[in-house]
Amino acid sequence: MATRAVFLLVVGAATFSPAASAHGNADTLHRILDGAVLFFTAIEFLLPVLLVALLARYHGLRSVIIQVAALGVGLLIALMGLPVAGDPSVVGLYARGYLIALGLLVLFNLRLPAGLVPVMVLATGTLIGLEAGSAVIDDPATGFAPAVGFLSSAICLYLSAALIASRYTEGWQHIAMRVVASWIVAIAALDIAFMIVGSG
Amino acid sequence: MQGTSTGDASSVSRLAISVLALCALLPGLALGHVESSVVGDGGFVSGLVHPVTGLDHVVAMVAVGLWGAILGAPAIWVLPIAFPLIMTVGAVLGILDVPVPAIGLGIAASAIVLGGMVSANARPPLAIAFLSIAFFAIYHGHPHGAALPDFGVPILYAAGFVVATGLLHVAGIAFGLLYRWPAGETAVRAMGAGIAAVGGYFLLIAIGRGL
Repeated sequence: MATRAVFLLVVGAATFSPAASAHGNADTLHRILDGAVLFFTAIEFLLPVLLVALLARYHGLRSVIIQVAALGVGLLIALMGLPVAGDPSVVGLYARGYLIALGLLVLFNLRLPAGLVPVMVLATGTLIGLEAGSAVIDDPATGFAPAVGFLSSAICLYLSAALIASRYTEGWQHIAMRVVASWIVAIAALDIAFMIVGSG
Repeated sequence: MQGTSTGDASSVSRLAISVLALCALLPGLALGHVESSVVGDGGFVSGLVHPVTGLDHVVAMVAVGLWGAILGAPAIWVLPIAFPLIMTVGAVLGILDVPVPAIGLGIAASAIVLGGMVSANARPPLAIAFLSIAFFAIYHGHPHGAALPDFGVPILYAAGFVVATGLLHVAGIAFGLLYRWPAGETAVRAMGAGIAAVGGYFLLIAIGRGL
């Protein structure tokens, strides 16, 4: 079922290609493509989705559908105008702090209760959406086409990572995932320091 | 006949050198097509290059991998996880301008101690090994944090920095796995001795500079 879902998403993503857009409303499709590309070119969006997919690897593929829905809802809530309290740049600090928390959970191989995982995924989607914010929807006149592309990319990555992580269950494979998580924690900690120095 | 053959070889050499020289120009062309913050100027590649530009850092990070391989599981993966994480703490201290005393001495000592451990086939308990590398990781992280370039994309720089550090450990582990064979054990322990010697050289430099 999950394999079929990935297949359908890949087919859907293929329709966003520049060649395909020549046959339709090019502006809208290009904006969707812009949103899709934006997600894959910014590691501050890629890493949380990757980590939360690794975190969910113990809960089987059936729960992935709920998690994907939670990711979508979180992203949509944020992208569609959840107001940011205070300085928007502070969102980056929160996002990096959350990334460290996710990384530590994977690093220490903690199995979260099944009910908590969708909440974590929802929070991940919300934080990514808040951070992406104006980069995805810079001009309300262009509509929400970029948000559709951004959302599609996030779901594609989440599904792929969750599928791969749930299939690779050997001890050394879990160790590799924990090593990657430790590196992501280090990256996030350094980025927080850069943010503090930059804002100071 | 022989002269002709020599002339052909010379022509081939000149042609090869010309092709290589031409290839050397290509990276510059390629950079023109990629966002500079990704490739350099404080981007991913800048971060990737930063840890490998100092021999004193490189040998110590490779030594961590070698030592982990000698100690076996779980040290083989615990040490390479711990070192980048704690090195990041040192880098954060450097970024925030928090002083750490005798940096040069600490870095040189790390190569001497870690190389010496590998060379001597030392097998302390995991906690002792962890504390040793944790102590030295602070010293290795601090100067990297204190000497950062002006940034293009800080998070990409951080990613390059961490990945390079991790890959140096992986290189050490890969070489350290030769330890299973007698000839490999000799090679690994010789490398440990070499790392300690490099550390000694940098210790003399650090003392010469007044630490």
